[in-house]
Amino acid sequence: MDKRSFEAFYQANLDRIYRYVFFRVGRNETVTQDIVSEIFIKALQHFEKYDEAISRSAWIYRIAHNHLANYFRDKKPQVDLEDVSFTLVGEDGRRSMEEWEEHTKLETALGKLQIEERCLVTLKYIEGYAYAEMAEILGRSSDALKVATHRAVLKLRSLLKEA
Amino acid sequence: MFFLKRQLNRLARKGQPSKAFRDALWLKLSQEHACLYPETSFHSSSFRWSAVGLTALVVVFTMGTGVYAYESPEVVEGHPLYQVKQSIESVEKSLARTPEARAEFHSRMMERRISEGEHHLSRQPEQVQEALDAAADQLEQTVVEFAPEIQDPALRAQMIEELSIHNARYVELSARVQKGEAKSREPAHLRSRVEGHGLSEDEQVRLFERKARASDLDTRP
Repeated sequence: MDKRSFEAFYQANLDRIYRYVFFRVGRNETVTQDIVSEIFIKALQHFEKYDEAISRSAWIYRIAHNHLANYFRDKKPQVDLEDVSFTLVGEDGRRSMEEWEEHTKLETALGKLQIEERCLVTLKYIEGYAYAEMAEILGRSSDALKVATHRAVLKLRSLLKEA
Repeated sequence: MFFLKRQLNRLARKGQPSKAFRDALWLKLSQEHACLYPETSFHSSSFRWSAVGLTALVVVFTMGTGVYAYESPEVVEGHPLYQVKQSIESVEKSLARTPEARAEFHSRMMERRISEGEHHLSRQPEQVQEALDAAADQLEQTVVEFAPEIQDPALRAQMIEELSIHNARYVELSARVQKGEAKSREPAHLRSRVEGHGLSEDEQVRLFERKARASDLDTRP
C-alpha cells in the first residue's frame, strides 16, 4: 500500500467527511469524532481497493454513507438516511440569537427542499465537493449536476425569502 | 444568491474538525497502520520520501545548469534543459503536501507558463496558445486546491490577489496573440475554469477585476 497516498487521501477528505457526518448527527462533536474515526480506520483497512483513477471521492463517501446508515439503524429502527434531515440544532449554547435565527431559517428552508435537491446543495456548498466529484458520487454528468444544483439553490433562496 | 452561498459557507465552517482531532486521528491511523503493515510507519515512510525529494532538489540546484533550467522562461520544449526543468518541477510538486503548498506551487507554475508564453511571443508565436492553455490548467488546479480547503480569509485574499495578477498577464498575452480578433475579448474559458470549485462570487469578481487594468502591466520589467 502506498502510504503517502493514504496521507494525501486523509488530508483531502477529512473535512468533507467530517461535515457530512457532523450535520447529520445533530452537530454532536463527540459522536461525529467517533464515527469519522471509524470511517477512516475502515478506509485504511481497505485502502488497497481504492483507485483514485476510478473514483476520487465516491469511495470514501460511500463508506461514510454506509457507516452512518448503520449508526442510525442501530440507534433507531427503520431510518432512511436521506430522511434524516440536515440538522442544524446543536449543542453550542453560545451562538448569538442572530446566528441562531439565520440557521433556523436555513434549516427550515433546506427541510422544504426535495431530498435530491437538499443532497445537491449540501454536497456542493456544505461538504465542498467539486461538480466532477459529485458526478462520481451520484453517477450523473457534471453539467447536469451543475444545472440541477443551480436550480436547487434558486429554490432555496426563494424559500428563504418566504420564511 | 451570494448572500445565500455565504450563509451556507458560514454554516460549513461550523462543521470543521479541530486541529487537535485532526492530529489525534492521524496518530491513531498511524498506529493502526503500524499494526497492519509492521515493516514501516507512516512517518518514516513520508520522511524517507521527503528526504529523497529534498536531496534530489539540493543536488540539482547545486548545479548551475539546474538553477538556470528551473528559473529561465527561455527553457521551453525543445531546449536541451527542458527535461531538467520538468524533473525539478515534478519533485517540487511531490514535496507540496498541504493544500496551501499545492496551491502555491500551481500558482507559481501558472506564472511560469505565462512567462514562457511571453518568451514564445517574439520567437514562436504559434506556441503561445499552448502555454496559455497550460497556464489556465494551473489556474484551475490552484483554485481546486485552495478554494474548498483553505478557510483563513487573509490567506484566501492573498491567493486571490496573486492569481489576479497572473490573470491580468494571461489576458494581456492572450490579447497580443489574438491581434486579428477583438482585442478585449473576454477569455470566458478562464472564468469557466474556476467556477464550481468553491470560490465565493466576490472572490471570483476580484479574481478577474484586474484584467481591466491589464494594460498597466505593459510597464512591468
